[in-house]
Amino acid sequence: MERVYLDAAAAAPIDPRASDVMRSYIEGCPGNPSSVHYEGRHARLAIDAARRKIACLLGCEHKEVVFTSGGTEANHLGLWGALLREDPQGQHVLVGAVEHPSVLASAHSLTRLGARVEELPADRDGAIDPERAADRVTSATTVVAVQLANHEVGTVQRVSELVKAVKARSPRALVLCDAVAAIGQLSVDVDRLGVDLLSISSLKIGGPYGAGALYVRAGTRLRGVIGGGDQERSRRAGTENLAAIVGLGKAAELLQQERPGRVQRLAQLRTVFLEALARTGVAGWSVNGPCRVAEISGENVPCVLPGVMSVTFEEAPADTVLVRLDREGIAISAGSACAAGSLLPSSVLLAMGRTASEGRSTLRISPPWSTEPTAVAWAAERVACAVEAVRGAHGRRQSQPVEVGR
Amino acid sequence: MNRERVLVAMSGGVDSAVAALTLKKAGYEVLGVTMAIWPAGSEEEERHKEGCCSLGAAEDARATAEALGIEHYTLNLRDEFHRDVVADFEATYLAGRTPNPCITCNRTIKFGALMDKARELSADFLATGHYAELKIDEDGSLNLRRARDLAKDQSYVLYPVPQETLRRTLFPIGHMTKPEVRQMAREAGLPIWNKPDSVEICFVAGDYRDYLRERRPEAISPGPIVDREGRVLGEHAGVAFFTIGQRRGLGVKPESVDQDALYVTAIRPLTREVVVGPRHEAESVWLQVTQPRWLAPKPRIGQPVKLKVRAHGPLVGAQLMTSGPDGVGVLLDQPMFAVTPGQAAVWYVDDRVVGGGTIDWTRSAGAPAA
Repeated sequence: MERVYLDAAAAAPIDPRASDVMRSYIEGCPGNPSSVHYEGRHARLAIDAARRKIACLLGCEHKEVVFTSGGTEANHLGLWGALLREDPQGQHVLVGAVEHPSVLASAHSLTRLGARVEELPADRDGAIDPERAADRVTSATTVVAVQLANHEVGTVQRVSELVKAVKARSPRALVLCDAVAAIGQLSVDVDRLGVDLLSISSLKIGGPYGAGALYVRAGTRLRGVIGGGDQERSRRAGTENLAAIVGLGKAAELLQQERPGRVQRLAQLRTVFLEALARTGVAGWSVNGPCRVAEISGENVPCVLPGVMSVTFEEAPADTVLVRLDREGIAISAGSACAAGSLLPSSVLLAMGRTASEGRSTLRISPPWSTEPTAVAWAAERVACAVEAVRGAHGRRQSQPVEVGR
Repeated sequence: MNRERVLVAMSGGVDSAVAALTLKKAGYEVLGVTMAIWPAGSEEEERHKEGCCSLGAAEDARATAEALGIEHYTLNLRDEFHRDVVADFEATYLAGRTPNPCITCNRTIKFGALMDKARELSADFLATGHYAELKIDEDGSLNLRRARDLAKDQSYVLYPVPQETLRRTLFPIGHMTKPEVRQMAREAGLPIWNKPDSVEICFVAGDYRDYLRERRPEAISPGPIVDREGRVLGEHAGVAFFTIGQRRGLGVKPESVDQDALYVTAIRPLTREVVVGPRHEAESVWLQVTQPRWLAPKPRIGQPVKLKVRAHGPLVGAQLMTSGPDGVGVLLDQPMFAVTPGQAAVWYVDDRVVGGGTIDWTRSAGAPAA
């Protein structure tokens, strides 16, 4: 059965052009990039080339790019690396309430070291107010972490405004921007944004698993968290994940070239999906986040990523809707998963003021940009059927179940 | 042709694994499901990595499903479990009774919330690895019976499952013995064929007393240990630490070496008293059973039935003497030791579960109500 995969926000399909360039680095003898010999030097050149591609994507210098194992590690390094420059005791961290779990958990774990961690509230659309954020900044604030766009709902944050407001309060406060969800759909220039730290992940932009990067503004000290070597200018020890980094570099290069076309396709797929859903006549659903779809430049008005659709279906628990859709060959997600693989309630939706019940009845649909519009339209119909079947299951007695979309 | 779909609750153990296997062989469309009941990522999840419904259990269930060639999902029932099972467990102990959380879980979670999920997934049936036999008689009535393997029989903990739920339930291994189940698993090449059965309460690691001390310290208050006449014999650290028939841990001794050993005969949470006495004072002849449920037409008043008052206890003779707003009054043929309020009383006629309820209070021969 041909499956319809609509969960790019969790993991994008790997671009075959990235796989192609990786191949020679996963067989034979690619060498250690730190070695003096030919093999090592060529591995080193491959890493350098990838690094320059990331720099081009972000509008920064190549030496401002630190490779990590992914977005989570990049966020963790940004937070811990900043706090550990000095005694964490008494340092202050501000983190958006709708941040990705990797940012929230990394931040909150700093309280064990004596730091004070405070969450910035979001409004009903998931937006953080830059002035309210700056109000919380004190002279003890070391890092303010606000994502460029939200991974569950797609809300675009007003990062450049926030940076200005924060720096006006306290020039020493660093701003860490998690751009993992946003980079595939918004153009990013670290100087236009003004951020000091910014994270990306290969997995979300068509690259392989196992690689990500943290931008560190020149002049910003950062203490390495993973020690045991001098790689990445002593900011991240360990022999580099050569194949994954090469793949990430290629994915970044393709993204830089193709982003406008991809964003246009995503906007089209969004329209197709939501219109098809409306045509089914299914009742009781709403799309979370701002109404306006972001342009590629991102603007300082409330808007949402075209490629992320967070839809709440009243009275339809997401877990069984997802299982039903999976049985039909449709891959969609909802919030994050626990270690055992069950659904966890969405902290993002709760922070946006949704009830626990609404949080458990919300799906996230994020088609890869390469998806066919007909597949997306079909999926919308199946989603409506699954929702109605799950809703209809309650209060049923001994009669045969109505087999809608079994 | 559409096969019937069955949701199998997989605990990671060998019983539910073989339940899934037999259903697959019988031609059903089988979906394996494991319930996640622990707060995710918590210290408690870490401590309970290997027990029933734990992270380790989900991993074992997943591996078993893979080996059987069936799909497997993990469903989050944490809120429901905490609200219905854990809270009830703690409240029951604090009220001086002894809870049976497996029965509460069966009623509210396994055959409650999980059955809801089965309906949402258009499953025709929910199946578990319980040892019990369930069939529909010729006249259409439900027949829940003790399992073939009487040592493993779990019909006792299934009494509160509503009839309409049981009609959508399958117990595929109820006619097998434990050795037969393990053998079948082994022959199918399942890695868990030799996994030991979980015996403790799934969410209490270690002693329940430490659990209560840790989780509800504000509600453990010391009180007196008294005899039936009210004479104070000593002090205890909290009524929740005692259960009827308990002999150890009392901290009080009989006055002289000729006297009988002392047992807990009653627990009075309002006065925080633990009442002790010789063994015969801990024997009951009458039980008052509340919240009764019936799985078959009610027996006639005075009709002889067989009664079970603990999961691993014997079947004893009794008669149902009264039935009204206060529940069901049961007269035992013989005095029985350590009948415990909070536990279930389940009555059988010819090995068939007829009904049951929660033991509210008991009376020993020639004594006021405990």
